[in-house]
Amino acid sequence: MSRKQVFFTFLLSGFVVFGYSQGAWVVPAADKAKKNPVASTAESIGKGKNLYNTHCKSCHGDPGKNNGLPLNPKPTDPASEQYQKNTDGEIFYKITNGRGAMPAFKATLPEQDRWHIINFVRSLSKKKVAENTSEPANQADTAQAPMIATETPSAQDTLMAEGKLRLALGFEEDSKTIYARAFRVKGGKTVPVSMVPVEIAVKRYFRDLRLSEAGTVTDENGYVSAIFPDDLPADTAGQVVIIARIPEAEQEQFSVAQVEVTKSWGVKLIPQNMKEARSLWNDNHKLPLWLLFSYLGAVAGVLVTFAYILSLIFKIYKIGKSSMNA
Amino acid sequence: MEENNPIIESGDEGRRNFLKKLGIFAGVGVAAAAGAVYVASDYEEKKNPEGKKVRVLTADGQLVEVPESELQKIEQEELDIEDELQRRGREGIAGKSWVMVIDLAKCRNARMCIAACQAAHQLRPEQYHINTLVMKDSEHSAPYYMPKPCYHCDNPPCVKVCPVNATFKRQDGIVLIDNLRCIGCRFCVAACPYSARIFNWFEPRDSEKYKDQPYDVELNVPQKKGTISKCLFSADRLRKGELPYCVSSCPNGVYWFGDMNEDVVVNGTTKEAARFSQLIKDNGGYTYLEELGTKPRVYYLPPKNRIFPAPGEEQVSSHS
Amino acid sequence: MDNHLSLEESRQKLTQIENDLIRPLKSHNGFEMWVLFLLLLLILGFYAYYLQLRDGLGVTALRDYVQWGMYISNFVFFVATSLIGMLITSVLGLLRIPWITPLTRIAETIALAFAMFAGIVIIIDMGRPDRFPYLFLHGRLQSPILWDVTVVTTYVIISMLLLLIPMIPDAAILRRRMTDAPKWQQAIYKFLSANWIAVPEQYALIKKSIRVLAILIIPTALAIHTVTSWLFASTLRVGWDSTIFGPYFVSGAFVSGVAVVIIAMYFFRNNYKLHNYITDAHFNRMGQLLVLMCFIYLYFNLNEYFVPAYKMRKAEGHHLEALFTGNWAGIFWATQLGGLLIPMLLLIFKPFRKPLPAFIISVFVLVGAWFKRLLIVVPTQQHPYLPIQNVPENFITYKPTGVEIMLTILPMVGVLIVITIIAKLFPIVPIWETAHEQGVDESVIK
Repeated sequence: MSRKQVFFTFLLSGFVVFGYSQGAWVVPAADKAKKNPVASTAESIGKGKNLYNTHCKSCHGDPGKNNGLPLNPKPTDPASEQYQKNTDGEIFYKITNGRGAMPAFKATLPEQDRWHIINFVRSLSKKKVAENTSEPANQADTAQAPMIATETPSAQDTLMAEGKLRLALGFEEDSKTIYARAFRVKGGKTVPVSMVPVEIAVKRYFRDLRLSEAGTVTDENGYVSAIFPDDLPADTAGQVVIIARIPEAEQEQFSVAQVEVTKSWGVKLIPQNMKEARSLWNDNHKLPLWLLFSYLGAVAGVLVTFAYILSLIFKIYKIGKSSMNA
Repeated sequence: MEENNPIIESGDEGRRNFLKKLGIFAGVGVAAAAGAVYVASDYEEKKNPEGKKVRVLTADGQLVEVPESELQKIEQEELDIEDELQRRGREGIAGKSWVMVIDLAKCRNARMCIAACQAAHQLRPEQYHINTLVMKDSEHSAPYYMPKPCYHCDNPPCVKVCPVNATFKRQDGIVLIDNLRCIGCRFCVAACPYSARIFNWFEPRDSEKYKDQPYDVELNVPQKKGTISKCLFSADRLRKGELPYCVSSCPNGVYWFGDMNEDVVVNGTTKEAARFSQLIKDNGGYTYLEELGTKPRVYYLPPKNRIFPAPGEEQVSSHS
Repeated sequence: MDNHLSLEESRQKLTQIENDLIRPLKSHNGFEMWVLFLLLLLILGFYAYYLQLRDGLGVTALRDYVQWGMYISNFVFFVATSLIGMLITSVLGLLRIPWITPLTRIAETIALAFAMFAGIVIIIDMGRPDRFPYLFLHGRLQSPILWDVTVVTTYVIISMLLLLIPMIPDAAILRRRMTDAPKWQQAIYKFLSANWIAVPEQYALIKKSIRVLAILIIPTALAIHTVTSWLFASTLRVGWDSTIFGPYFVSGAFVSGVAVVIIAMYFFRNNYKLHNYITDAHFNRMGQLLVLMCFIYLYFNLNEYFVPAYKMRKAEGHHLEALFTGNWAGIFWATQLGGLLIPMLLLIFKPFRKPLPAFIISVFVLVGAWFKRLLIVVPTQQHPYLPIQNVPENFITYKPTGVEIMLTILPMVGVLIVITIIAKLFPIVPIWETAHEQGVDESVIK
């Protein structure tokens, strides 16, 4: 028990170093006034969300749930009022330069990406407003979305429509292109749904490998596409399971069963059991033959010599015995 | 304090579930009834003159009385559990080829990997299966943090020298130690150029508490006095489709872990999946001291474009 | 055979030799004190081992970095010292060097005792000695430890045969002379004498057996110490990762072996009053042999230390600095100069090859040889490729504990006990070979 306590004390003291006497985080006025050059489109928000999940979530937690790491100072929940008080310029400055346990992302994230993240965290407060007024969840996002062709229903329309949202997978064999389509059935006809975040992935052991770009949403015809990499390994039969689904982070908003199709596109796995060959590091019964025979040969030689010596001594004994008897 | 530590809790919980999941024992009634009762036959009193009832210690630390006839069954079962753990532990998972990638640019020495690992493997604070070192390659090169697990080499110098097959390599690439076999000669420690192996010089931590737990070769638990231990790539978790203890407890996205046969590694923090070959290619991945010919299974990505201060710079940054 | 004696003269001569060499077996002057002293140390040693078994190897100063220490150094020292049996009986014997006759049994006794206890030393070092049988149940022939177990066992058997076979005629003599000895002792003599009647056929068989064994022991002896050196050289660690470790260890082994024989010669000559048998000339010869062995060993040392020091590769550099100028420098230079170079230079001059100076110098050489093994085993482990961090201070330094020192002494006590027993049961200088050398007719030696 005491060890766990030691660990925790250590953990806390570790962060005390980082958090030591840190006052308010003052951002230079010029940086504070900086405006976001990237328009807050659904695409930008989607990218921002992905980037957030990759780089920020481990400490800041799920937005709105206030479940960030218990550090000192505590990473602020980006959906919180306190956080949203920051100007875009302030957030950008803080992401860029970091302080204490907050890393500096200037070397690892391009400016563009940092602005995408800001667009995403801004969308959180809007979402809150949206929820309060019981309007469709992503209305605010889609309001700034690029123009949608008039013949296809806009996202918020389709969301409120009665037909159930569905996903389908299609393939173009020659180019190994995968198409996922989001649609609804209305009066016996399929109606494509745009602006649905859909990812195409290939099944793997721990997590599935995404083939489509991060943050991709369906186009006006309801499609998302991805190219299957030629060199991706498959199972021993060369088969891979391809999946279309809503990304984990979006599943609260869009509840659609994922679609799986098995294709023979991958590189056949030729299973190699490295333990089959004899080697110096293998188990005792898999030792190299040269070693086995050298060993047995040497031991046999010694044993034969011992037997010979014993026979000589026995002769000495016999000679003595016979002469004594005589 | 304890409740605040999710890592330790989840480790123990996971293990219990895992034991329960062992399918082959599902049918045995006693196990279900007693709820994986661990027997303390050597130490518990068997005072009853008829020898009909015996006290045993349950998994959650309670003493209960059971008829001795059932005790025999439980003992047998426990042997079965240990046998099964040994069998599958030595065999490994067919078709897998585990690999780890450590991104040195992301490590800020949070040491949460170490804590999770030590909790799961019942290690003392000074015993490391994984240790984060401050490295400085030459006089004018920049220092960096380097987490160092066992590299699970494909030409393992430690396995070569073991006289009794106590440390061995499995078909999925993992180098394991069987603490029921190890004679404690420590030749493997001498042979490992990466100082990855440790020895139980004393009675292991909390050994009294864990003494009735069946030995799991994939977890090296309970630890045994006078034998070797080292990083196991969390072989017990891989079997369940979970990432290793260290990998999943890192807050900074340092670790990627996966199957080379699938060419995919998953980041333990972000759960992002990436092509292993691509990750190595894009970032100049390398293995440590590869000139020794050990063929490590742990790859490093160089500490370029760091997001945290380098070792020795924390103080400066906290006052700036 | 030039000074061939008549049968009557032979009998007289033999009786005189017998009297001189068997006398020590009967006199008990100071023997009890010596045995008491050994038993006391033995009890202390067993208590130390009990503590180690109870609390684990942690009672030593060994930790995860320096994890082979005095025990393993001791093992190397024991194996090394045991090699002298092969040098004296086999190499010099096959070369028909005449002056070795009175020294062969001393050398074989030492060889047998040290080789036997080398195995015990390894068991002391094991974390789980209860699992020793696993070496045979689950043995991996890929491991040098299995090779070591095999060759050390073989060497013990050969050494024992080389001790017992030349003992056959002596056992016959003892059987005749030691009529007042306890029954069990007489039974031993009877068994070992193998119906010896000193006929030429029996002489031929004895000589043939010795010759065959003398040949077999050469590769075996080279193997035990070469394989022992491979326990280190087969790893990838700096300081051990060396291609000359085999010959380096073998040449070092002869240094400590010759030194220990000179010490034993001095002891037996004075305590057993054997001045007529182990003469100044023998010390002179053995002194010369030690000079030669020291010189060869110095040559290997030069190769082992100078060549890497010339290059100063990164990891190796740290190791060598620690030896040359760092925390190991004191022991290193004391060993190289006081235990090797200066003894060699002194022994070049004849006055230093007199019994007493040769004895004192040999003690220095032997102590130096023990510390040399420690220098080979320990410092390397303090300089692994990866830095030693986040561990307690005592993981880095190595300060042997009392228990550890006691358990290092324990097998040495064992060696002394074995030598004491053998020297008490049998004449330490072979009677029949000495008699034969002095022209006694072969047929009377029984």
